[in-house]
Amino acid sequence: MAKLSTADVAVAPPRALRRRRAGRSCAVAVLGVCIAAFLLSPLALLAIDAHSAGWREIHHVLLRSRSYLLLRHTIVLTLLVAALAAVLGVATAWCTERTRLPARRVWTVLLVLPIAIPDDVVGYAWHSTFPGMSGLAAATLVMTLGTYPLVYLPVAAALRRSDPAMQDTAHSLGVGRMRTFARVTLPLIRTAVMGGCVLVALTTISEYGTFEIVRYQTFTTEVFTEFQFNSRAAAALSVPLVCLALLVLAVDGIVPSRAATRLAPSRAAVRARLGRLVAPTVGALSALVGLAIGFPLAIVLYWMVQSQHTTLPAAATLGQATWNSLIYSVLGASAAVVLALPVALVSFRRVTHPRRMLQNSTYIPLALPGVVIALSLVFFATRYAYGLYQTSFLLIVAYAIMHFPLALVCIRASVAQAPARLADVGQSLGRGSTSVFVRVTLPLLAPGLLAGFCLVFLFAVTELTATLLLAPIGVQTLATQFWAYQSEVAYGAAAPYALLIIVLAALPAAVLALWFDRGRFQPQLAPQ
Amino acid sequence: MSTIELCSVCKSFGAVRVLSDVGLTVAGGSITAVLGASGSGKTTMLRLIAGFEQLDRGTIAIGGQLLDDGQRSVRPQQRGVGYVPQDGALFPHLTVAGNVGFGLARGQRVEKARELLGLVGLEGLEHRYPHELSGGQQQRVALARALAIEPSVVLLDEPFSSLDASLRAELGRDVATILRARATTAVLVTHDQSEALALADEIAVLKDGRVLARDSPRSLYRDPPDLLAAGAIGEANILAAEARGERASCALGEVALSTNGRGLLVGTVRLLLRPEQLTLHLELTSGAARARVLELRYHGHDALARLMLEHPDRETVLARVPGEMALERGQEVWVSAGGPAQAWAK
Repeated sequence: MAKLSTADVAVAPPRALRRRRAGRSCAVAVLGVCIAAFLLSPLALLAIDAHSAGWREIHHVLLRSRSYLLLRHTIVLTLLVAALAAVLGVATAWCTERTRLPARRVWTVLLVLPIAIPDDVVGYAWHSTFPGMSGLAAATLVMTLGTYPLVYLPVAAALRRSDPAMQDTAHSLGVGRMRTFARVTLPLIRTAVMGGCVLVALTTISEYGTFEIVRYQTFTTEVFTEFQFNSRAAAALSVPLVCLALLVLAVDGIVPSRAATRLAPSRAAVRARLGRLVAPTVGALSALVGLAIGFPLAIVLYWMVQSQHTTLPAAATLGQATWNSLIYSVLGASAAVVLALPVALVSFRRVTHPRRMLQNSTYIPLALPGVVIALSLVFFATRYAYGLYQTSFLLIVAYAIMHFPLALVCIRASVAQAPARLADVGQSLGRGSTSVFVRVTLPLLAPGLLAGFCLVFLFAVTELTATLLLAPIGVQTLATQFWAYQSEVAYGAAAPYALLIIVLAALPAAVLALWFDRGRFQPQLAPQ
Repeated sequence: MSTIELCSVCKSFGAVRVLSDVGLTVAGGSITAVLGASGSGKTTMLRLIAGFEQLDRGTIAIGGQLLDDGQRSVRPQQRGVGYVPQDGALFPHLTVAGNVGFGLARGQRVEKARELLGLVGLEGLEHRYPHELSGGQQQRVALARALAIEPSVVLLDEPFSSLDASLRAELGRDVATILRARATTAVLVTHDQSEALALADEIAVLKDGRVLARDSPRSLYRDPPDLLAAGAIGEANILAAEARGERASCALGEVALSTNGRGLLVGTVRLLLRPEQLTLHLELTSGAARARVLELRYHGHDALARLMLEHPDRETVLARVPGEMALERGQEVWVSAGGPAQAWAK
């Protein structure tokens, strides 16, 4: 008993009046500004690079008829892919979220898995099977199959969040099913569809490998090709490419988001009975998954079996390339998450207009194609820091910048789930702010940090363009080695590398699919 | 037994004045309810006492120890102030025991958590997670968590507002009993008059960032300092009257005035009559005013009748009548008023 009472006395904390400090919240904002500056540095470097190339070079490169061809190619393809991905994404999300689809949980993972397969591997699968396939049609097919999950994921999440009572209300007001979808459901998920389409468009604009395989020229392939002969022309060509991508990104900002995303649904939606439509629905989904995952996987395996007669790469080089891919992607993903955490916390305690602007500005790297970021880093290293040139550090920096926005999206989602009030309560219970951060805030953010890590890892391990330009000489990753072999039409030798990329990317993709699907179970705390 | 003292406290957020010149003393071991509409600044007042926000001007002290003087402040984790937020704000990633033991040293956690859960009537729920608890249980855990650090003061920010009516009354009683048994000083912020009247030793009425009135529930109801405070607590009929010293005449006839040391009034005054000071007669009664029943709110043991006086300005008044009295809407009745009534010069 005596022991207990001394312990109680020990609890009484010393009370000291302290001069107020410029709050922690301010320190986070300053850190955020520094990170934003770092993320936007490729834009500045590109400007310097293009400027030093001179106006004559820019005029020369841009004002030739080829530029118009490239512009037309890029825009037509981007619009086609975005539209098709939107249709596929919304339709599949509707199936998994609003119908009684058999084995729903399996489909939620299968429908997301295509993002684990690099688009150039899909392109290689089609092209090596049907060598005649090339041009716009092939590019559209490959990109649509690879990118529709970018629409599916946010739309499925939005459908889950939207209150089914709204649809019920529409029905009770005498509005039929189809018109309810058009007048109520579609407006509710409009922001999600738009956001997904913007991601699809940006992915398409910055893709290189696929279009090289199916022989379809866009700005990005041109920049890449030019870079090998004339880096100044490449810088000049990058300017319209980045402008185009920024334009696409701006579309996302223009669409007003009035959707009541904060509303927690009062109950789960009543799923539509598919009835006689079960077989056609499952058939259509199977066909989609078959084309997007089954077909490339089968072709990769086919080439591996075929090539046993000829030559398979030595296990040693395979192992080394796998290790390199793994370590670069892990480091890049860790860096992106570590950088994104303070930026996500900028609006944790105080939401002001400048703070929102700061956060939103860090989405700009989305509009910087990998080839542009790689070019700007090469320019930076050769011009200002030669010691960094041809080091893996530069590659990791590129991964972190390129995929930062993806990490930020995930972490911001979980910051919204961890209100500042909880941290306040922790402090009032006698804990210091560091202790509260470790014991309250961080555990609540953990799912978002994990999801962000998985997403960045996934994109880094499948990334080709920046890796080709920045990997130190003599260092091969799975992506570069696959690219080297398939360029020499050594389809069999390329196959094991493709398979390993898919294996490495599949696990984080599955984790992500489950994380998104689990979204409904997260406790929704009322906004303060 | 720590007294809380707020002295000319001012707080603004940007250009918005939230609290202006607020003074409040909460006696050690007592429960004070801060009553006000949403936006009246009551939550801000709590957050200032807890140390989540800092004062612009004024001082806050607990138990004679200065906590904030407008320039310097003691950090929340060093104040020893228990805080029970609106919806509990339990840590969703920790069990009930983890939540209650959060502020304790590792060795004490298990034992102390069990003891406190017993206190709030939640034995055996140590290993549940917050989302597995009902709203009322979550609030009990939040209280246990706040009490675990042996706080000198407990702040409750509308702790019962998300619960349904019957649960609210029961939990309110339990919380008040627990706080009184431990002689903990408590501030309860609420917008619910009946909650404030039932649970608190003292009520402070807050409006637009100012304290309008402060007194025991009984005096505040019987003898409010002004008409604004009268309207803030309970139902009030405010009638124009002509005062002549100790009596006044109003639409309901002659009423005795309560002087209460304020001196005699003469001339036009405003009169406060609580619904239970009005008496209804079903037949013509001398000295009573004729009225018509507009609306009837039946409570079982009694009922509140809204009446329209037929004379002279067709004013409406509220009268509390026995539950068994048979009344119908539109029925003709006679109302008389019993004093003594409060009055203020117009």
